[in-house]
Amino acid sequence: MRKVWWEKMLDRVTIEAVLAEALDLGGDFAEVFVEDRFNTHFQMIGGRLEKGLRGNDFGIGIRVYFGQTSVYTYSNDPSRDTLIRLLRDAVYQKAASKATAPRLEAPTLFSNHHRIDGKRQGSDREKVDLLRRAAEVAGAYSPEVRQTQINYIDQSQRVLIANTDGGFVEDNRMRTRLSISVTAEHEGGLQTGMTNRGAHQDFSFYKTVDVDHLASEASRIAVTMAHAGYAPSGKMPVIIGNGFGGVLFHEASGHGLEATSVAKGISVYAGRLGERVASPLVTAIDDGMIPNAWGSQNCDDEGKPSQRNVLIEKGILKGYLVDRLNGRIMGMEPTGSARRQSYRYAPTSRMTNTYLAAGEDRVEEIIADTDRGLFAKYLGGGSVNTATGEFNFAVMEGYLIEKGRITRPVRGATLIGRGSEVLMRVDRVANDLDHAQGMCGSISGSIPVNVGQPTLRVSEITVGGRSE
Amino acid sequence: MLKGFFEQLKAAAMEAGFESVEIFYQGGRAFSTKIFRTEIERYQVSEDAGISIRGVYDGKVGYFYSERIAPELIGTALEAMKNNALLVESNGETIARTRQIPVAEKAHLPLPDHEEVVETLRGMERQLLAMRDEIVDVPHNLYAEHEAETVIMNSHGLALSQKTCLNYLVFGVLAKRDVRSKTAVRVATARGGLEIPDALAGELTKEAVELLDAQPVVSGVYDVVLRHDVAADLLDAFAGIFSGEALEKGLTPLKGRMGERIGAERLTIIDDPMVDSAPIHRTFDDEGIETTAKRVVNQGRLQQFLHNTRTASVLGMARTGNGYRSSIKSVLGISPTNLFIEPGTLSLEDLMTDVGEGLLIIDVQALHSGLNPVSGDFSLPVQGYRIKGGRPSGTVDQITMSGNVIDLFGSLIGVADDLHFNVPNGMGSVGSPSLSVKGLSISGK
Repeated sequence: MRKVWWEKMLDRVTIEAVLAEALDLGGDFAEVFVEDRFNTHFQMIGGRLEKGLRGNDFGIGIRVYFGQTSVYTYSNDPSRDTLIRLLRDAVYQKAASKATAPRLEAPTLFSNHHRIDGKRQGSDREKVDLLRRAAEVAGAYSPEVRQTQINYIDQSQRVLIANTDGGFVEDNRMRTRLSISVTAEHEGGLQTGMTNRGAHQDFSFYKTVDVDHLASEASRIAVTMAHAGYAPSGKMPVIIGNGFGGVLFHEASGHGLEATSVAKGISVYAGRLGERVASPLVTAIDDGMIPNAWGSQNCDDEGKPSQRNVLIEKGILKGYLVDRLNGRIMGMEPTGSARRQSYRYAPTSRMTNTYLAAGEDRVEEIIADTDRGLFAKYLGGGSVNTATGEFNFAVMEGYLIEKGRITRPVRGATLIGRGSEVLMRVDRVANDLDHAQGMCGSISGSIPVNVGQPTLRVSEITVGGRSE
Repeated sequence: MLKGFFEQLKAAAMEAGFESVEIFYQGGRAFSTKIFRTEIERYQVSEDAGISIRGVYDGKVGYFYSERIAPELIGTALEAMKNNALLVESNGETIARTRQIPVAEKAHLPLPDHEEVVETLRGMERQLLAMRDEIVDVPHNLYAEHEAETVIMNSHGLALSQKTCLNYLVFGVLAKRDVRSKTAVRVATARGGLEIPDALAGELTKEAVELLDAQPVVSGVYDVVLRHDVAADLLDAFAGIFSGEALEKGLTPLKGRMGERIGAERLTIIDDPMVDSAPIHRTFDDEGIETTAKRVVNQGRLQQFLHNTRTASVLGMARTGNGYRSSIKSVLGISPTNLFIEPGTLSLEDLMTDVGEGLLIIDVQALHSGLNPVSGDFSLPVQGYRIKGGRPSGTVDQITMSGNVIDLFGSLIGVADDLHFNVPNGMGSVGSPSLSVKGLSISGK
C-alpha cells in the first residue's frame, strides 16, 4: 500500500508506542504532533532578485499532561529510540500509570473549508514576475524613492496530530504572502513605508490582489513621511484607520483574553466574564474559519476544528480563547484556538483572525467632529504586558487633525495606554471594516494572524511624539 | 556521519555542474523549565539538527535547507539550489576561500543538574514572594540552557566546528496594590553554572513595588540616564545601522559618514568576539571566516562597518568576520559577534549625580515596532524614576522617550563602568554600560 507522507518517516506503531510510554510514565494525556513543511522565500532589493531560498522543516513534538502541568519534547529524528529516550528525559517525576493508550487506525483528514488548489502553487517565474512588478511600480512612484525591498514567502505544511483520547487527524495548510518595504529620502532624512497581503491560499490569491496599488501605497507612505514633521506629544483624541488599525485591539485586549494568561489569573481580564470591559460600541470577534484568511486553518494545532468566537459583545466580556490544557485549569471547553509556530513549541491559546465589528458612522463625520487630535492612518506593530494591561503600538503614517480637518502629515510616534482604559474610550466607530495581515509572537512562537477593524476614535491616548 | 554526507553531496554537486558547495550544520540539545506557584509549569527537553546547503552555479548562489539530513535529499537539494541560482541576479555572493583556523573555545562551567535547577527556582519563588507584601505572584521564573555545535564544510577544503553553550535565568514579579499592578523582570546570563546575584531579589521586588506609585511626567525635554540593560536593548535594536549590507543598500542613517564624527568623544563601540564578559564566543563566523576584534566607533568617529565576504568584496572593504545567519533556515546576513559600548569609570550613581535633574530609565518596550533602523528614529514606551538632586525620587510610567539614535550618540554625557550583555538572540550578543544622555524628548501628561 502506498505510504502517506508521515509514514515515510515514522509509522503508526511508533506513534502508538510513544503515546503508551507517556501514559506508562504517569501522564494522564499525551499528544504527538508531526510536521512536514516546505518553504520558499524570495527577496528582491532595488529591483534585483538577491535571495532565493527553499527548505524543508520536519520534526515531531510530544506533549504530556500531568494534571495541570505538562512536559514537552521535540526532535527532528523520528526514530522510536530517540523519541522514547527524550520522552523519558522530559518526564521528570515518574508517577503510576493511569490509563491505556488507544490503538490508532487511519487518521482523519480534515475537510478543507478553504479554496486552496495544491496544483496552483505558482512557478518560480510567476513569483519572480510578481516581485518585479511590485519593485517597478514602487520604484517608479517618485524620484525620492531610494530603495525597495520586496519579500515573497509561501509555505505548504502538513500536520499529523495523535492523542490519547483517540484523536488522530491530519490537516494541510498553504500560505503565501507578499511584503513591500520602500525607503524614501528627503533633505537627508530616510523614512519607510510598508504594505503586505497574505492568505491561507495557493498562488492564485494574487489574482485578487491589486499589486500596483500595494506597491505604490508603500511608496506613498514613505514619501509622505519623509516630508512630515514630528508627531506631537501628550494626551489627545486619536482616530485609528481601518484594517491594520486592528493592532490596537490585538495588543490592548486580544492577548489578555488568551487562556495562556487568564488561566493563571494573571491577565487583567481574568474573572471578568459578564462584566463591562469596553465601550458599548465595541464588539470583538476571533474567527479561525474566515475563508482563505491569513490566520485561518481548518483545525487548530491540537486537532480541534477552528471556530468563530465572540470575545466582547457591545462592551461586555463574553468569552476567552481557550486551549486544551488551560481549558482544564479554567474548567472551560477549548475554543479551537490552540496554535504553535512549529513542532518546536507546545501549543497554547492564540488569536487567528481578530476584528472589531463595523459601526454606523462615516469616517468623514468622525474627523469633522474632532477638534484637535491625531489621525493614525496606518499602524505598525505593538506589544502588551498582559499582567498589567499596559500596551503600545506604532503609527506608521499619521496626520494632525486641527479644527475637524486633516492638516499636515506627522511621523515617528508610538501610542501607549492601558488596555482596559483605551477600550472604554472608543467613542466613535465607522462602517468601513477591513482586515490586514501580520505576524504575532508569544510563548508558542510566531504565527500568522489577521487583525481588523473599522476606522474608530479613542477619546484620549498618550501620543509619544517629540516635544518642542 | 556528516563528513560522509558532505562527500556524497560534493561529488553529486560537482557532477551536476556546481562550481563549489558548502554545508552549514547546526545541532544541539536544549532544556528549559518554569516554576509557577511551586509547580513545574513547564519542562522541556529537545534535540535538533539541520543543515543549510549553499552551492555556486553559473557564478551565483542557491540555497536549500533541511531538517532531515539524509542522502536521499541530495537530489532534491541540488535541483532546488540550481533553480534558485539561475533565478537570482549576481550580487557578489560566493563561497569564500579561507584558511583553516585553530578554534579557541572558552571554557564554561558544567551545566547544572536539572533537579538542582528546579529547587533553585522554587527557592527563588519563595524568596521573592516573601520580600514584600505587595508581591503577589512570580509570573516569570524560568531557566533555559542550550548546547549547540556549528559545523562548516566546503569544497575548498574547509572543515571547521565549534561548540557553544549558553544558559540563562529569567525572574519576573507581579506587584499589586488596590487596582494598580506592575511587573519587573531581570535576566541573568551565565556560561554554565547557576549563579544568581545576591542583590537580584531585593532589587527586583523593590522596583516592582515602587512602580505601583508611578505617574507620568509633563511632556518635555529631559536629561536621561539609561540603565545598562535598557542601553543594551537600544543598541541591540539599532545594531543593524553598522551592517555592511545596510550600507550597500543605502538603508542606514550612517551612509556616507565613514570617518566622520557621529557621536560624543566618550563613545567607543567595539565588536569583540572573545571579550570575556560576553555570554558567547566565536573564532569563526558562519562562513568560516576568522572573527576579529575591532572598533566600530572610536572616540565618536565611525571607523568600521561589519561585513560578510560579499559586502566586503562589493564595497571594496576588508573582511571583518561578521557573516552570520539567524538559523539554518535563513540566508547569510550580517551580525555583530559581541557588540558593546566601551565602559567608562563612573558608577551609575555618579551618572545620576552629574545629571542632577532628569529621569532614570529602567524599562523599555516596543523595540520591535517603535523604532526604525533605517532612519534611526525611535519612540518607545519607558518606565523608571525621576532624578531629583542627583538621586532617584519617585517612579514614572505611561511615558514615551523619542529621538534619533545618532542624535543620542552625539548627546552622550557620561558612560558608567557597569557593562552588561543581553542574552544572545541567535546571532551574537550586544552589551552596554549605563549611559547618561542630554535632552531626550519625553511624552507624558
